[in-house]
Amino acid sequence: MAVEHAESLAFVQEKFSVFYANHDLSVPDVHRREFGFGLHKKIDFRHKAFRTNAELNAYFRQNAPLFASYSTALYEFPDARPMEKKVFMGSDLVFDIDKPTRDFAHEHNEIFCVECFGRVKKDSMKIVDYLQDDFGFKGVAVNFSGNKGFHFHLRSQEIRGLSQDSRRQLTEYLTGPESIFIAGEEKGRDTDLRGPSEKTRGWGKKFFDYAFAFIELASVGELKEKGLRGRNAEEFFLRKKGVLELMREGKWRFAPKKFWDAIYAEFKNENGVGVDAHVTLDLARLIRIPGSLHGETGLAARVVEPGRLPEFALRDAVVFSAGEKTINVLPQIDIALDFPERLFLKKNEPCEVSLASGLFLMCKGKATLLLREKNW
Amino acid sequence: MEQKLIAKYPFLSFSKDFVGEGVSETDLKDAITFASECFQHDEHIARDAARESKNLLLSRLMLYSMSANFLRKFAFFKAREYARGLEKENEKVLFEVAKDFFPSLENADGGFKVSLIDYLQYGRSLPQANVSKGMVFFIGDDLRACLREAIQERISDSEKLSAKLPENIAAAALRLKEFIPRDFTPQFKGKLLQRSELQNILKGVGEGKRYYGSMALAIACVKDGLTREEAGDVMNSYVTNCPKGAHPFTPREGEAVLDWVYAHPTIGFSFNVLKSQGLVD
Repeated sequence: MAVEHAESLAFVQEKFSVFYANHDLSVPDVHRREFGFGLHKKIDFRHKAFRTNAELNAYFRQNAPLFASYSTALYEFPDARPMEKKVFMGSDLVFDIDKPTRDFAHEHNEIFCVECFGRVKKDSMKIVDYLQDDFGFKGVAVNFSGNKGFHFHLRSQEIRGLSQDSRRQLTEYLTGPESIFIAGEEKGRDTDLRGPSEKTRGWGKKFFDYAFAFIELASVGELKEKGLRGRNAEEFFLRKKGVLELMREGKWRFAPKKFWDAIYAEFKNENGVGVDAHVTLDLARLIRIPGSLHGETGLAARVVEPGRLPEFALRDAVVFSAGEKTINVLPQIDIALDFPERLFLKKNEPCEVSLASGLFLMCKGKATLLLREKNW
Repeated sequence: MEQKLIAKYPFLSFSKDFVGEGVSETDLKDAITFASECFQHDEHIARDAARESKNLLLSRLMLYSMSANFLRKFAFFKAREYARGLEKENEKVLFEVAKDFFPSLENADGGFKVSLIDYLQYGRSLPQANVSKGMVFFIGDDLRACLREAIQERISDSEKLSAKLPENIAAAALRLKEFIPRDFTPQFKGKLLQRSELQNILKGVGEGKRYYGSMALAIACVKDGLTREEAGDVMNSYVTNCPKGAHPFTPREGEAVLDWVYAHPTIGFSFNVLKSQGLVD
C-alpha cells in the first residue's frame, strides 16, 4: 500500500532523502540497465538510464524515490522505447521468494508477519544450497527484498544467455520432481518399481539418503505409521537388511509404490522451495535495487553474504532509529506489531513511536503523521 | 569421417560448410522429394554430405515459409528418423554427434556428464536429472533420448529462417505443399478458444506478455478438451504470431508451458487473471 497522506509522504520522502545523502548505491553494469521509479506505486515511470553509479546516486539524492528498481536485463540502449529498440544483451538470473513455501499453523499478522519471514529465511537458505551445491553457481548475490523475503541474483555471462525455458527448469528443480519412481509394466503390481540408487545425484540422491536413513532406523510401528499394514510391516522389518541392499541398486519393489510415494511427499514437502516463477521467467523484469529503501516498509534491501544468511535478522535492515519514541502518529486501524518494535495501537488514538516504526506504519499506509521528531 | 557423419546426420552444425552456394532446379527437386518422403514416412536413403545438408536446409526453408506448424511436424518426424539411426551407432559416433549439442560432454562413471548450462539448452526435465556441482550425469539411453529432442529442436528452430523466399524456392514450396497431409492444419475448436479474447491472444501478444499469453492458451486448450498434440498446433500458431521483440519467444518455451499445464489439468481459467496481466481490456 502506498503512502497516501500528503504530510506523511513528504516526511517519508525527506527521511529517504537523508538516507540517500549518506549512502551510495552500487549497481553492477549500471550503464546497461533500465531503471524504474515510484513514489505512489512500485513503478510510476520507467525507461530511465544512467551512465555511471555516480549519476544514479545523484538522482537518488535529488529525487529520493520511495521505490527504485532496475532491469535484470542488460541492453545496448536501456532508455530506448519501445522495448524492441533497447537491443537485449542478456538477463541476470533472479529468484524471488516472499512467502513461505508451505502454509503452517501460526497467528498470522496481516501487517507484517515475523513468523512468515522466519520461514522464508529458512527456505532462502535452502535456495542458496541448491544454487551453490546442485547448480554449481558461483557468485550468488543475495539481498533482503526490503519487505517480506529475499532476492538472489546471478550475473555471469553464460547465465545471462539462458532462455526463459531454461529458467523455468531451474525454478521447477527448486520445487522438486512430482514423482521419483517408475512403476513396472505389470498393471496394479509393483513388480519392478525403480527409483534412485546410491549412485544417483540431484533430488534423487537427496531422497535416497532420506529414505535409506528412515528405513534403517524405522521400527515396525513407524513403518505402520507410514502406511504399511499388519504383517507387511513386520515382514518388511524382518527383511530390512535385504531391502536396504536393493535400495542401493535402485530397486524399491519391497513395498507398494503408495508407501514410498507417501515418504517422498513428506520429503518433498520439507525440501522443496517455491519461488515466484514470474520473476525468474520475465527477462525484462524490473527488480528492487539492492541497498535501496523499500517504500512499503522504510527498510533497506540489504545485501547479505550467502554464508551469513542464517544470522540475518530483520533489525539488520532497519536504518532509522528504532529506540527512542520520537514521533507521533495516528493509527488508521487497530495495530498489533512485533517489528520494528512491539506495539499495540488503537485506531484513531494518537501515540508515540520510534522513527523506524513510524515510517514503517506510514509506508504501510496504516498510520499518518501527527507530530514529527520532538527535537526537530 | 566428417563427410560420412554429415551425410547421415545433416543437422550437425558443421553441415553448413557443405551446403555450397546457389540453388539449382535439381536441388529444389531433391529437397521436395526429401521433405515429402518424410511426411509420407517413406524410407530415405542418405547420399553425400553436400546433398543431405542442402536438402535439410531447403526443406526447412520451404516448410517454414508455408507454416511454422509444417516445419515443426517435419522436425518431429526427421528427429525420430535420425534417432533411430543413432541407436545403431557405436558409442564413438554417439559421442561425436552429442558433442555438437553439448560441447562440455565428457565420459564419467561409465556414462556421460555435461555442464548444467549445456543441459539446460537441450536436456530433458531438470528436476528428474542427476545434477551435482553444476554438472548433469546420464547414461547412454538418457543421452539418446536427449539427443532426439535436441535434434527436433534444432530442425524446428526458425529463429534464423526467413518466411520470405527467393522466387524459385517459393515456387518449389508450393509444389511441396501438395505432398503435405491436410490434417496438419491447426483446428482452433472449443468453447474457450473460440472466444474473441482468446482469438486475439492467438494473433500474438507483445514482449513481457508472451508467457502469460501462452499460459492462457494452454489452459484454454485443456479446458476445451484438446489433445496434447492438438494443443501443440494451437501453441505453434501463437508462437509464430508473437513478435520476436528483443528476445524471441521460442516454440520450445510454448511447448514447455503446454507440458506444465497438461501435467496440471485442474488449473483454473479466469478472464480476471487475463485482465490483470494486460492480455484483455
